[in-house]
Amino acid sequence: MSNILKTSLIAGGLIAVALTNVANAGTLENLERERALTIETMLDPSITPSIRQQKVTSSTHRLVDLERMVIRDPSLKGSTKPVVRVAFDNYDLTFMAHASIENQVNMTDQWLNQLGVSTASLMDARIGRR
Amino acid sequence: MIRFSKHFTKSILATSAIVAVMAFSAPQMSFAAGTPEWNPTTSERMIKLPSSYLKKAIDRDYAGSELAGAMSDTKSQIGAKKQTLVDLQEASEMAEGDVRTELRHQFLVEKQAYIQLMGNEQDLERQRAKTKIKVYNRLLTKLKRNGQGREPMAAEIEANQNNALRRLETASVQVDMEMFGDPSVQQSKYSVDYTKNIAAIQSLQQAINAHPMNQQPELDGQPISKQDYLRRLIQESETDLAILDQEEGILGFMAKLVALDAMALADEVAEQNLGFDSELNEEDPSEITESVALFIN
Repeated sequence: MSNILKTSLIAGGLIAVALTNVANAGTLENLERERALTIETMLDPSITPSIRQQKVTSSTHRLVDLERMVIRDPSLKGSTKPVVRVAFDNYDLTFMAHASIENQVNMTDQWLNQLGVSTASLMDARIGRR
Repeated sequence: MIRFSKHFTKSILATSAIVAVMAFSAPQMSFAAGTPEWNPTTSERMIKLPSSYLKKAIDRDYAGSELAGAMSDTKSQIGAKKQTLVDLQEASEMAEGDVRTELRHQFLVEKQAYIQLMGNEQDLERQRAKTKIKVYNRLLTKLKRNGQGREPMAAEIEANQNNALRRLETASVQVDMEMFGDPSVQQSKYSVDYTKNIAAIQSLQQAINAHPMNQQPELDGQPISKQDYLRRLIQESETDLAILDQEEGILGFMAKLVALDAMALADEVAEQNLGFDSELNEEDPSEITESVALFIN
């Protein structure tokens, strides 16, 4: 009788453990860090366009993985932290690598478009004094 | 005519009266002191258990309780008492005279004890059903609490996350083709491992879904939610209570019959002791018309 109870308790415990999601902290932070570095590379005036392209392509590979990790991270599910809310409020801005491929534009254009800066708006801009 | 001693008759009458009083009140008798207990606890872990396992876990908890032990004891006592009743009934039918009266008296006392035991068993059954209802209700409240009371913002964020996941799944093939379509480009470690793991997870999930312990409860062939399953279990326990109420009525009728039998036996013994025939007693010697014949020549 006691053996049966013990076995049941162990089985119950295992099921409960198996059903508990293990928190996987830091995926969003890693993505934000990589995004910041990528944007810095995009805006870096000290590097040549070819090097910039090379660096951005390399970053894109890392971003694709990091974006997938964030979207699949169960610990972020329903989290009300401001950083999580902001991240999921705008998919096209947070998950730039995926969104740029979906929209068939390069990642720099994708980011600038999301900030409201397009080629047309730049062409229309005039240099003047306020 | 068999004559009983005064002492024996008094004793029979007194015992019959006690039997009658006790038999009428038998169904209300219960374990007044030292009531066996069953106090199952409901943890958050229980809610996560598969529905079919949940019921079994509660049944097993009951099986190891003091209440289950008392129930088992009472059932075996009832079985033994029933056999005693059968034996006494057979013996009293075969006996005659003084012995027969004594056996009939014994039979009534045993009947009263049997009813008392049945009443005790019903009390235990009722306690079990009520505890079950309490446990299931507690689990239901916990389940509801888990699903409710969420901030609207959390729901909104979760909706955004679900949309993001859907969008990712739709675009992932396109992204893979764009990123790794060129054979010279190697897939990332995460991507390779994720694909491998997802295949393993899917096969495990299939095994879990097909596992007999993880079978979803069904109602009329349709799978039902855990909340509905718990409501069904509560309903079943309440049905048990309703049946117990009905059985209590049956026990009451049994007790009344025992009381009437006891009164009849007491009456019979009293008549035998006083040595009169009930038919002759109907004629009142003080009736004036009965004496008329004495005055007619």
